[in-house]
Order: sequence, then structure tokens, then C-alpha cells
Amino acid sequence: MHARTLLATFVACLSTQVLAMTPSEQIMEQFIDAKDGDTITLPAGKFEFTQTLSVSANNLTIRGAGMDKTILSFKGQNTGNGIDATGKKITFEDFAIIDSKADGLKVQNCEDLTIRRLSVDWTGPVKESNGGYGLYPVACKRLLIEHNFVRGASDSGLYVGQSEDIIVRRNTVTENVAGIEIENSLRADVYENDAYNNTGGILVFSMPDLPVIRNGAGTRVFRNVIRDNNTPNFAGKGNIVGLVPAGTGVMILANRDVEIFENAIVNNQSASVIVTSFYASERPIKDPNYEAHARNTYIYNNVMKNSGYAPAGMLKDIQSGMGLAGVKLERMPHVVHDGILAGKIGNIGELKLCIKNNAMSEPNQAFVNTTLEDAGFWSALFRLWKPKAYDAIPAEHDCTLPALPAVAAVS
Amino acid sequence: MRSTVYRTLASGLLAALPLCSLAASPIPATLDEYGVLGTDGKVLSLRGNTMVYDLAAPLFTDHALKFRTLTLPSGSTVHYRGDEVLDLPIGTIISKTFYYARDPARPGGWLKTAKSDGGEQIDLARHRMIETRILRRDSDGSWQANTYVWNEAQTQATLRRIGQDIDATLHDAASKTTNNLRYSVPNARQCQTCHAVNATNGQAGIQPIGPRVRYINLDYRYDQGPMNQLAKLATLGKIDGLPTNAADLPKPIAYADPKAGTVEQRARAYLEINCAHCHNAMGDARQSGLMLTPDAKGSALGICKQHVAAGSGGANLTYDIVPGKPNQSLLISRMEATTGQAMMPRVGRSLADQAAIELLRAWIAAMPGGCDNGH
Repeated sequence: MHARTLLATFVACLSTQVLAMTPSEQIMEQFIDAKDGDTITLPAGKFEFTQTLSVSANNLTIRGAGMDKTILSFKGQNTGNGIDATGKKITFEDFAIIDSKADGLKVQNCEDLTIRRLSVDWTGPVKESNGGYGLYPVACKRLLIEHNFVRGASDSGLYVGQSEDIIVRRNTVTENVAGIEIENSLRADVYENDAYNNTGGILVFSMPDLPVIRNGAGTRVFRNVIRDNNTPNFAGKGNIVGLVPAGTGVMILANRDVEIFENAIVNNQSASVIVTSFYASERPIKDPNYEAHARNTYIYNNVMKNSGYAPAGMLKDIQSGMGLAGVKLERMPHVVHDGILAGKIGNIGELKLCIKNNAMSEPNQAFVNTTLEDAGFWSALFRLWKPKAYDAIPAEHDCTLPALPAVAAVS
Repeated sequence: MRSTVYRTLASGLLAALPLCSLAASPIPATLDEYGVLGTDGKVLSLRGNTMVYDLAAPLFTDHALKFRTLTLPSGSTVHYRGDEVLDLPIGTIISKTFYYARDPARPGGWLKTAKSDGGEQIDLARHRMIETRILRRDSDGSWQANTYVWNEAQTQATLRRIGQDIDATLHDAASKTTNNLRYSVPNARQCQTCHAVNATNGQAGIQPIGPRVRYINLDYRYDQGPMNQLAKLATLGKIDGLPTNAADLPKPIAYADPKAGTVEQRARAYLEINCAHCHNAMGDARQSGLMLTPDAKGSALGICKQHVAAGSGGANLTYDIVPGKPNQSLLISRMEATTGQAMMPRVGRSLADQAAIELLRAWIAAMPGGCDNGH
């Protein structure tokens, strides 16, 4: 290296030292200048930012002094996420992100991601203008997301999209529209989480027109506590989660190979579990590669208690006999299926929705086929619903499915 | 000079400081070290083997005027690659200076100006430079992006890697309105977001966006008279493989000019330069499934495509584009938003681009069909 360039290097480094930087600016610079193998240690304290913290590196650890000690506040932001990140083998742990204008932590195109003991919160009463997603990894492979707290997201608190091999465990999600959402992903284990006071507790969705993973498959939701998810839906109406009825415990939308077992699903006012095709959204499907049905759903060994007492949204319309046929339900049963037979499905048994050995009380009715049919133009117009409720699981759903493999340990 | 102060300090602290080793070459602390632009506080002018150029279809950045330069190492060769960005030689330096006309009626305020004066300098008596962004092609072939913020005296621009928000007013003499704006100098990572060649590979390299024949195949008003910018480039160095017949070269579509093409062509040209650097199959926004590249069509272009992760930016709308219905198209509402999750793009603006919104509205309004189920 020439003497002159060497000097310039020192000048470049020095300039940041000479212009006295605030602690927040020092953190910004650490993110921007992060190199492979770095550990960024965030001190205790509250730090204000008006811009997104953005980082790209491999083998990177960003570690705070604790989720109640290191607080990154984005209250002064005009737009943008709290943190944007990309890279291989990244770990975030032990700090808080509050009041970002868009998402809290968005990590995209990553591999071997760990998010641990973070808190993401939109302080104050929940509202539609809160950011959409608290923790938002997307297009990633091998993720471990554990012991986090997320509150106030106007879409999903903990949202994993278009990713593969995912473990989401022991998180607490509250007062989000969706507590946890796994979307267009392959192989996810969602267990021992506490989802309460959201609009919907845990959602497993597959949506059309997504390029990275076209159809979601292989999610296990087990040993979670999913309770009191009765917060009125505060998402924008155009968002797909805007369609989730307040009081939904678990909702499966168009996903394939889903197991729901050993959960406590309690005090959710619309339904304990909703299993539906995408057709029920009454939206068109233009994606030729998209599978709109939920297939191979196995719901077993759960405790379901006190649900369906005040259904909301479309379930309220169905329960109260708003369809043309005027058929009412006394109370919404625990497990709700849309009953749509569109595409090449000849009978409901082909969808393999199996429900076995669940302890259900209040109501005692186990299941309802809402018979939405293909909510195409005519059906949507006339709402030809004749919901049929069953005290016991009907024969076509009284079945078992082989167990899905556990997600291989990640990180 | 402040750099002298730094150097004095630096020499006193050499042993105590770690080396920065981000780029193959060190990052200059001040703009003048690149040797491409010079200023005496009154006029910004060119230095070295440098030319000014303009883009037919520019990125919207809060109505800032832009002074773009390209500097080639002497005796070097540029390779033409058809409709790709020109392959520029190692050592190339591209600069883009963002500046505004000063507002004489409002001290510290700026004026909205439709066009720059042209020419090969900036008159600093009438203008205020904010920042100069540099792309330099390093010895290992990679491009390095950095930005330099100008001092009040307009005598020096210094490296600013963490970005900066600058609050100002922008007066529009035509409509007699004055808007507050928060001009945002991007941080070094944000440079990568827009300039990434392949965002799916986290730290893959970056490349320039503007020096593509389709954008720069136009005349510029040089001090010695108007001249095609490619012809000017050929005076700086060799251009290898350039078709000799000018008619064979890709043509730009200046989206702001109603005579430049159809409404659809102009709208697509706008989306390409303003959105497609992220909204492409390898870009930072690829997972949205919304592709705003010139070849996109159908739901990939947003037509009857449900947004998936717009969060609170969803604006109660379901589809990115509803043919015939700009008011129901999320694309428009995100262009109109100036805050929150809805705002797109996230970087580089705090105002809405009203002229472009009108253009995009006209494009969508003229589309046939709709998004009702059953169609």
C-alpha cells in the first residue's frame, strides 16, 4: 500500500472519530460497516434512530444487554423498518426494537438465522398504522426463533415467509393481528409458544403469486398455549390477515401437510381451529402453480375449550344465517372447515382433514362444514351457505395421517 | 482546511487506530481526493478526464437537480454490452451531485426547478449542493459506493457513511406552494440495496444503474454545444463494440416528455428506473412477487395481484393494480404516501412525485378488464 493511500485510510477512519458521534450514530456505523465474523455489542440504554439500521454480513452476531435493557427506538422515523439484515449465519439476541414505522426486524435471503430474546413492540394502544411485522424473516433457510416477545403488529407479530426448515419455539406474542404466521414455507415446527390476546393466535398460510416458495407444506403446530385471541382485527382490509375473524385460535389456509397436536386452545370467541381453502377469500386466483386447497391436515390430542361463543367477521355472518338459505348455528363448533369443493376435488374426504382424540368442551359440537362451495362470482353473490354442524367428528374426517418428521435442529 | 486538521490529528494517533479495510482500496475522506470535481465555493467544475452526462429517465429524489459525471482512466476502454450497463474500466469514477436552486425569498430554502441549466458546471451563487455520491470501480473489479456531504460554504464534501436527514423547504413558483421536505442522504448500505446485482446473495457486488446506452443515448448541452453523450464518451476513451449505425442503438424513453412515447411506454420507463432496481427477480424486493421490470406482465406486474406483506401499507386495498381503477390500485397509493409503511420507494424521497402519479394513473385507467372474481 502506498504511503498516501495508507494515510487516506487512517483519515477515513479518523473522520468518524473526530466528528463527535452520538451513541446512536455509533451503532448505525457499526451496522453499516459490519464485516464477516463480527460481533456487534449493543450497550444498555435507549437509543433513538430516524433511519433504518441496515446490516449485511456473514457469521455476524448482534447482541444487546437484554430485551429490557437495550432499547432501539424508531419513533422519529418517517418510514422504513427498524432493522434490515441479510447474510449467512446471523444471530440477533437480547435487545428491544420499538415503534418502527414499518417492520421491526426484517431479515431476507438469509441462511442459519437465530433470533433469540428480542422484544418488538409498538408502544401505546394497538392501531392499524402500527408496522406490519414484528420479526420478519423471509426467503431464508434454517431458522431458529425462540424466547422472543412481540406486541402490536398490525399484520403478524412473528411472521416467517417463503422460508425452509424453521423452528419457532417458546415465544410470547400478544396484541398482534396474527400472533405467529408461517406463510409459503416448507418444514416448520411451531411449539411451546404462548399466543394470547391476538386477533388470531397461530396461522399457517399459503398464498398465490409468491415467487420463492409457491406452496407451503409441512408445518407442525404443537404444545402451544393459544388463548383469548379476541382482539378486534385492526389490520387493513386489503391484507389477507384482515379476513381473519377475531377470536381465531389456529387457522390453516391452503397449506399442505399440517399437524396440530397437544395444544391448549382456549377462550377464542370465533373458533378453536379454522381450516380453509383460498377460495373462501372470494378473491381471484391468477397463479397457475398455486394449490388453493388445504390438504393433509391432522388435528389431534388438543384441548379445545370455550370457543365459538361470539364469532366475528365471515363466521358471524355464517353463524347468524346471513346466507341465502338462512341456516343458523347455535354456536360455532370448535373446528371449522370451509367445505369448498372446487378444482378437481370430488368429495371432502380427498382433502384429508383428519381430526382425532381432541378434548373439546364448551361447545360440545366438534365440527362444522360451512359449505361455502367455490366462492366464485355466483356463490359470492348469493351466499348459498347451508352450514352443517356435527356433535362428533363426521366419518369423512375421523381419520389419522402419518406423523410428519421433526424439523432437523438448526443453529 | 479541515482535511489538514484531520491529517494532523491522524498522524498523532496513527498507532492508536485500527485500519478500516472495507474496500479493496481505502475510502477517501473527502470528495476532492477523487480528482473529478473541484470547487472554489463559487462554481463546481470538472477535473481530470471527466464528462457530464444526463439520463433520459431519472430516479425521483424530491425534485433534486442532479449533476452526473463519468471519469475514465486515460487510455482505457469501455465495452458496449447491448442493453446492459456499459462495462466500464477499472478506475472509473461516476459521481452524482444532488443540488437545488436557492430560494431567494426564503433563506435556507430551496426552489423546485424543472431542469438543470445544462453545461459543465454548477453556479453556486444560485445553487446549493447537498451531497455527491460516488461509484468507483476498484482494482478487484468491484464497485464501491460512498456519499459525501457538502459543507455550508460549498468548499468541501466529506465522507458520510451513516447517512443524514436534512430538513428544508421546497418552493414551487408555478403553484405558489411551499412544502417541507426531509432530504435523506442514503447510508452506505442503502447504496447497496438499490445497486445490488443479486440481492439473493447477501453481499454480492453492486453495479451502476444509469450508464446504460438506453438511458444515455441522447444529446447534452455541453459548453461547446450540444453533442450525443456516447460521442462525448468516445472522446474520453475507446468504446469497444459500439454499433456504428446510431439507429441500431437502444433508444431512451424520457418518461416526463409526453412526446417521448405512449402513456404505457412512459409509465413502464418510470417504473423501470424508479422501482425495478429492487422489484426484479434478483432484487431486494423479489419475495414480494411484484416485478416492475420492462418484461413483466400479468400478476407479476401487479395486475390483480394481491399484496402479501404490505403490512400497514396495505391501505385497505387488495390488489397492486386494478385495471381501469387507479383509486383501487395499491401501486398508486404507495407512490402517493409520504410516510409510514405504505411509502414506496422507502429510500430517496419524502415528497410524492405528482407528475409521475398522474402518468401512472393514466396508464392504469386505460387498462382493460378488472379483478372481479369470475373474470
